[in-house]
Amino acid sequence: MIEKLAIVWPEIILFATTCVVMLTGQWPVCAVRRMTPWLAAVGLIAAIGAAMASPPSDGLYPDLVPYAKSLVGIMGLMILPLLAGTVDRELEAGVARGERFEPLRSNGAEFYAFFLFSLTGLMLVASSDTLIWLFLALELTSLPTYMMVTLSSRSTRAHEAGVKYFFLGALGAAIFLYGFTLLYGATGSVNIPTIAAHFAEHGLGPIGLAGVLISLIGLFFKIAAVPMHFYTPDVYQGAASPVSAMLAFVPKMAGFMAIFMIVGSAGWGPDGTGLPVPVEALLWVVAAMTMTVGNVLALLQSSVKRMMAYSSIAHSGYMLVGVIAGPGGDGASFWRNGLAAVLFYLLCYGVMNLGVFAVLASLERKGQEADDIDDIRGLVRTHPPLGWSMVICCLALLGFPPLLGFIGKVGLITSGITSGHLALVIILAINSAIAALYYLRLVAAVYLEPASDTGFRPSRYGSRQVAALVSAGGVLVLLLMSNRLITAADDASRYAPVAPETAPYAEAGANN
Amino acid sequence: MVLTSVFSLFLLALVAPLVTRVAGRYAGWVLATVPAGWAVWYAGFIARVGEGEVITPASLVWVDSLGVALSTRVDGLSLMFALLVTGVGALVVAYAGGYLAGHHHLGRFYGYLIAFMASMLGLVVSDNLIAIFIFWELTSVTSFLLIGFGHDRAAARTAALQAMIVTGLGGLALLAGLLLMGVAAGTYEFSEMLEGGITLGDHPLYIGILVLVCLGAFTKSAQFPFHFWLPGAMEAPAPVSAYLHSSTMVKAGVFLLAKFSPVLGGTEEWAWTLQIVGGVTMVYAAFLAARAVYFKRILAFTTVSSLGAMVMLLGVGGPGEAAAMGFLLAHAMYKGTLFMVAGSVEHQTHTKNVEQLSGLMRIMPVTFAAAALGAASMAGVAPFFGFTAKYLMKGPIPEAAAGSFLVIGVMAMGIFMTTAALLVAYKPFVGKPNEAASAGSEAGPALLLGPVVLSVAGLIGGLMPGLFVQPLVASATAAVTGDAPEKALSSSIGMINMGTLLSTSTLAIVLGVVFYAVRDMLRRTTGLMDRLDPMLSGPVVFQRVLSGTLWFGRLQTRLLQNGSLNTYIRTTIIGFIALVLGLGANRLKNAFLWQDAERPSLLGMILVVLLIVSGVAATVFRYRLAAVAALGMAGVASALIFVFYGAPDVAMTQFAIETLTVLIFVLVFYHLPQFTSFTGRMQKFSDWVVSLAFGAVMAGMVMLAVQTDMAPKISGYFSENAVPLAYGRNIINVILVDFRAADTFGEIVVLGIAGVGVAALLSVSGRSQNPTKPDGGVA
Repeated sequence: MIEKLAIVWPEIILFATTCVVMLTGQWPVCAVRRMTPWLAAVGLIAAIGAAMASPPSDGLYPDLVPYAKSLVGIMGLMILPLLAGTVDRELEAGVARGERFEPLRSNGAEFYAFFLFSLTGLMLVASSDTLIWLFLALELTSLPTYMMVTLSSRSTRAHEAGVKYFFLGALGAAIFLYGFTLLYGATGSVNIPTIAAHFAEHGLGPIGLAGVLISLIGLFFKIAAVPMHFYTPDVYQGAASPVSAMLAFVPKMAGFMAIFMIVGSAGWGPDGTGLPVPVEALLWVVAAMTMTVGNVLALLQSSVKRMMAYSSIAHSGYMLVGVIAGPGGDGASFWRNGLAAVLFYLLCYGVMNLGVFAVLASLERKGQEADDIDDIRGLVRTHPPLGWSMVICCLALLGFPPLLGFIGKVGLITSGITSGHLALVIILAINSAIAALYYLRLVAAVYLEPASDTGFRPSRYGSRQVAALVSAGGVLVLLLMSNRLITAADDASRYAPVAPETAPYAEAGANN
Repeated sequence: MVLTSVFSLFLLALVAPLVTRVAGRYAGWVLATVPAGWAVWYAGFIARVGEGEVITPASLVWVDSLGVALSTRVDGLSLMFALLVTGVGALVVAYAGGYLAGHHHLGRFYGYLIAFMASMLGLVVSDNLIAIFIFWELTSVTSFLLIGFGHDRAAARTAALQAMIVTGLGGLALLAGLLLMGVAAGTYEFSEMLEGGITLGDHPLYIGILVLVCLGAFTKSAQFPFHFWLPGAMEAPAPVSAYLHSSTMVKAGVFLLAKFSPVLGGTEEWAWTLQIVGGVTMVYAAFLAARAVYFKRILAFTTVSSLGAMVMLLGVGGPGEAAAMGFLLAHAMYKGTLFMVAGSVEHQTHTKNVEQLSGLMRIMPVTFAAAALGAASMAGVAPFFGFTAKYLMKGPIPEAAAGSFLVIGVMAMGIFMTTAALLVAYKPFVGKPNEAASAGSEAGPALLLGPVVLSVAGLIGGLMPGLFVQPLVASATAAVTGDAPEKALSSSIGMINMGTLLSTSTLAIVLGVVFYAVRDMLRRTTGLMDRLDPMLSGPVVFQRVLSGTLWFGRLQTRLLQNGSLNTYIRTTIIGFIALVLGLGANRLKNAFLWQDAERPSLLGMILVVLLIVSGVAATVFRYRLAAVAALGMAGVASALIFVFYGAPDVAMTQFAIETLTVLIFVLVFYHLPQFTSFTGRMQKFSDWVVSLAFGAVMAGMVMLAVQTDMAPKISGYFSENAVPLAYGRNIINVILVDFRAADTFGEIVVLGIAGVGVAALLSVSGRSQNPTKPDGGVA
């Protein structure tokens, strides 16, 4: 137990920060309230530092912890400036006019606390090595986001989105919890490496197979894969852009790490192509459908947020290709290692996608954020920095070479090819082509179309624009660092199932 | 140094707007000096490369783990292209200064143009497959910017998007092809493939690679049926057409095929694909050129036709490569000339239609001279370079498998090319100046320099082939075939019968003149083509596919993504059932076989009945509180199962949670209005079916779990270890406070928090008198 503490230091730091933030967020003194995001940032930076020094975990992916938690911390830092002005706008305006501050009407404390809670949960997902930890961590990641969706906007649409998100999320959680119990039933252990060792020795068996399949289907909710994707467009559109930006990254990352663990317990076999047939078929079908449904429906949208929601679905489909390809055999290079490709792509996707939402969040008309594609026409001319950020991020999302999304996609494609899934790679390529249509529509609207006065002005929360510029800059800077990042992702994806005889066969019941 | 040339141009592109502001109307000349300097630098390699040397500077590693490096390699083929890119590029930059003089975005235009130049240069000198692809796509995006430069016009925007989509789709295919190629060859460095003597003709992935690479090359080089984007791209300003659409970008496809032919060529599939696609394009586009009336459209179609000829020659193989290279160089010169002439005429007279112009010869004499030289080369009149190129071409073709067809095709192309040459260089210039022509005047030096230099170079190339044509074409051919430069060229020249060549050329020219004379009739009788061509080519197919996809998407949205939470849950559950049954049916079918069917106890039966009744009741009750009570009953019944089957600690927790849940539900529902709208009968029925199916699947899982050998029972462990480990005799106590102390602590926390929540709800219910309005959206 004590040795585990060394791994969860980042979570402990974030949790402590959360407690502080909960207090400062509703402090009567305005200056203290203003400090809240800065405190959150300090906590995140400290958590990143702790994450980088983290020892390997006992899980199936011992070295996942430093990479995943640093990534979570960095993305948290990038999302943080975007959150400014999402809640308590009228309240703070009132206080500025000299009204009394009423803590009961304020949501700032909860909002930032939920944000940090969710990130804590996300980090815990990376740390978890038992199914129970995994379940709790996944729920800790998701539950605060349900609240954040509802808090983020006063419109009924946000409330409706929150309710939908919650109900479907509960359905998803129930499904993967059921899968987890079946896994326990099949192996008599909740320890994931032990489960993997059991499966390696005895094979999956009907109940183990059912456990893996059902867990995966439930986890598809987190990554917004078909058939668990329905909430995505409604929720992304209903929530305020800063929260949508977070939703596109946080649950997806959690879901993929959990999928790594579940698929990893079934195992890719010694040569890296031995994924059990039904599991591979499930991932294959879902990957193909997710890409296609996401991209085709994105074509129809005129709301940029809905478009990005569908594109988020499609990107999950791309990443599932890497999961199918698996880590490869021993000493496989990056272009065979699908898991490393996914980990790297998560980073790319997080940054690129954040840029688009940050641009939307930076434009306001009478307190309303930009959403329709008409709202951003000619943006390059009216607000050049925002416009160019949009262009760069869209081209990167589309996978335009040599931008970040391209490097990420190359990893996914090569892992797909080298693991022998040509048909899936072709589906991926066709889908990238479909995706080009709507991303280019965005680029064309921003860059080619003449400027018209839409009434949208840059938000008075300047930090939102900073977030947009940082994301666009990140797309370019990370490009130069991509070799180091890919190496890091490659190390992080080291898949180390314990040999059956040395597996920690803990006595039953004592391991939870 | 080679990489420096690429990056210096990118840098120049960045500062171009600034230079334009400083240097004003001389900006074009100033900016042109840089590419001109690089052209001279590259020209210095002609002798060395001509002797068969290959220049491979040190490479710049970028993403090592992906095998991506910015490595360069200058062989004959690359050198020829590098010279075209920088040389013609310098002329075009100067030309643009005259053509777009005074345009308020001129600086930006220079920037795009030079960025394109840098990308194209990077493409031709790169050795790494991924780097090639990166520069390939950069040419697409810069050309998108250039075609859409006049983006205040809708036509320019449409054309730019169309070109981008077509070349972008091709680019994706190319990416897949290049990655497959890298996987098949084990390296992304092209020079390593050459040195290792790797040919992929026998590789199992070969067909895939060939198809994908060809798709990339054919879309970029506007081969049938992807040819439509090039005439559309004529919306671009003339300098763009002269540069991208004659000498550089559209040749990238040909370049790629030529470059890869040592690795991918030499197979039946390669030969047939290239010959058929190239041959069809060559004849078809030449015919369209002969019946077009707009200056730049005529030129665009002849370009497509020439590109087809080059692809076809590469497919013929053997000495065909030499012909392709010679033709490529010749074409770059005369087509560059003619596009610039077209631009000058348009710029000076504001007329695009050749039929509406006459007598320009007197008004624009220098332009006319350049046009005449270029057109003569295009028609293949001796002794122009175009003739030399044709001379190279006629040799190898009869040797090919489909030789006789190809000879007829080349003949047809020659005829229509002559007609097109007359249309652009004769029709507008001869006769009496008409009104449109008289409005114009001779172009300035910036507009004249390009056409004059290129057309004179074409003449010199024909008259003195040894000067630069022979070493360039020979070393380029050597790079394609892998032979020594001398041998590569001589084998092709030796095969030609001069008499036949002269007679067929003359015949082609004569027939071309005849067609020119009857061109009005030609256009009228083939009027069907105006409607047929769009149907044969991309836009219509593309539109169909797109609208089909959109239709599917709308249908999907209406049926499934309709915003109703009910639909979402229903669909999700159906999807779950389908996936689990579809994938697991084979292994799960045992679940429903009753093996050692145990007689259920009476108590068990009662609990089951209770569970079922309460479940059904929860769905049929019309009052929330009643439904909640039914749910609570179900919870209690399941907790009783734990009580009777040996897990009292779990049961205790379950009871506590159930009670709290019901309490919270009741408190929340107190604020909600009554149910008002009820689901219809049909809806209810289908929901029943879905729920029963879901329940059946879950029940199947449970049965499966029951049959499987489960893990050892935990209870034994507890009873054995309660005393030795925990010093306690009350096993349940020991479990709660010792073995599962952490669980118990968690439960206490959860219950505490829930209690706080209940307290909060109770305090709110005292204050709020106005319950929130029902939200119709959430059903």
